[in-house]
Amino acid sequence: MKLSKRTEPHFRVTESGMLLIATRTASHPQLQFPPLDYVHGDDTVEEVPIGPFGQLYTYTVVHPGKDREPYGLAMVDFEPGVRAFGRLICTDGKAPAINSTMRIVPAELPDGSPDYAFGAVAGESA
Amino acid sequence: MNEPKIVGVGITDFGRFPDLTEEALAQSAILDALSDSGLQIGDIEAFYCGNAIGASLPGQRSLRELHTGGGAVYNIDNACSSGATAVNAALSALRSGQYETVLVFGMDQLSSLGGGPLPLSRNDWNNKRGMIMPALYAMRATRYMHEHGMEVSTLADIAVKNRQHGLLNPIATFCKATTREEVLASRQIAEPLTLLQCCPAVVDGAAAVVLSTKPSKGLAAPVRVLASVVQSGLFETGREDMIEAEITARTARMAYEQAGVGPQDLSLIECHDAFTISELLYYEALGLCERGEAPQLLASGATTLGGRIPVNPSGGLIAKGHPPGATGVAQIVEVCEHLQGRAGKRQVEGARLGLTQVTGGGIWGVDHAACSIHILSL
Repeated sequence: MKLSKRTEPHFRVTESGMLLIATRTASHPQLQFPPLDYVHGDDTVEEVPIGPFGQLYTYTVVHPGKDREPYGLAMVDFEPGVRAFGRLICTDGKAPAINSTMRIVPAELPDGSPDYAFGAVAGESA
Repeated sequence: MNEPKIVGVGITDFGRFPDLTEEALAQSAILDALSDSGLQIGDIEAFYCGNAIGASLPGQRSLRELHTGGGAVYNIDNACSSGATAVNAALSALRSGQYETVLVFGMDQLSSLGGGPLPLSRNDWNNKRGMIMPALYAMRATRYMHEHGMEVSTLADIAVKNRQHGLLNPIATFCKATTREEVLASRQIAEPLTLLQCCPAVVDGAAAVVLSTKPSKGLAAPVRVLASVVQSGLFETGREDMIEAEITARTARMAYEQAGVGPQDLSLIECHDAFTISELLYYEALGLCERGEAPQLLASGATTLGGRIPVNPSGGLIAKGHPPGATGVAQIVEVCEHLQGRAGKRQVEGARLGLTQVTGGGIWGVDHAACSIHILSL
C-alpha cells in the first residue's frame, strides 16, 4: 500500500489577505475544495490558492434554539471555478445579499482549531 | 422466471412512541404485511431491512421473536433511502432467481434521540462547520428565491397542502391542520425555513412489503414494479447548481426509461418532502414542470388531492414524519394502497401509475448520497 496523508493546512494568510488552498491531481485535474486529505500511489498534488475575494452564491442563518446563538452558513464562489462552503459572518444579525463580494476571514472551529469564515466586504449587507 | 410483485403491505402508525422499540415497530409492520399477503413467516426465504439510526443488526433484532426459519437477513443503511434501497436489492434477488418470496421492512425510532435534526457524520467537512440538513435545504431555498423570484409564502403553501393531505391519513398521528400564516410565524430553524416547513424531527414508524414471484394469495391485487432504480451522488467539485436536484433528475430519467412511461403518465407521486423547498425542487427534477415553474404548478392545484397529479397524498414527510429507515418503504405502501383502491379518504381516484422518490444522506461534495425511485402499477 502506498498511501500518504497531506498535512498542509487548508488556508494560508498572506499580505493580500487570507486564502483557501484547493488541490488537483494529475489523475483528477479539476480543482477541489476542501483539499485532498490522502494521496494514493505516486499521484502528484498541486495546491492552488483561491481568494481572498469571492461572490456569495447562497446562505442561511441557522437558529439552534435553547439559548444557543444563531450562526450563518454560506456557499461562496471563487475563481477559478470553486464553490466553497463555510461559516458566514453576519453583521447585526443580517446576512449579506446574494452576489455580495465576500472576503475570507480567520475563524475557529468549535474545538478551537484555526479555520476560516466568510465576511462581507464593507457596504455589502442586505 | 415470473415477474416479482408486491403481494402484501403493512405499516404502523407514525408518531411518538418512546415506550416502544424499533424492533417492536418493525414486528408490527411485518405482521401486518404478512397478514395482507396471506403468507406465514415461514414462507419468507429472505429479509431485507432498511434502518438508518439504530444500532447494528437491526433486521435480526427485529425478526428474532418472530421465529423465522433462519433465512438470510440483509441490513441496508443508505440514510433516508435505506428502505427503498432494500426494496431494490430484494427485487434484484427475486429477478435473478435467488429467491421466490422475500420481505422488506424499514424502521427507525427517532424518539430515542431526544429531538433536533437527524445526526450526520461528525467527520464530514461541512458538518464540522455547522451544516445540518435543514440548513442545506435552506440555502437551496434562498438561491431558488433569488433566481426565480419565489415568495416565502409559496414554501408555506407546501406545508399547508401536505398537512391537509395528512389529516386524511390515519397513520399520520402527528399531523395537525395549519395555515400559511401559522407556518410563517413558527420558529425559525434555518432561514427561510421555519419549524412547520420541516418534517417533524421526532417521529417513529415502520413499514413492510412482501415481494414474490409466486401467484399472490394476498387480500388485494398484486402490484407490479415497473421501475426500481438506486443511484449515488456524483462528486461535484466545481460550482454545483444547488437547485437542480441532479441525483433525482438522473434517477428519474433512468426510472422512466425502465418503466417505458413519462411523468405525464403518472397518477400520483410520493416524494421526499423533508423540507418544503424539497418538494418544489422535485417537481422540476421529476419532470412535472420546467425549471422555475414549480411555484406555478403548486398554485395551480395540480399537485393537491383532486388535482392532475397529486403529490404526497399521504401527507408526505411533513405531515407523517420521517423515520428514515421506514420512509422509502412507507411511500411504496402508500402508492400500493392507491393503486389497489384502498386508500380511504385520501384515495386518488382512478390511480393507475404511481412513483416514489426518496433521497438520502448529507455529505459534502454531492447533491445527495443516494436516491431511489420506484414506479408501480397494477
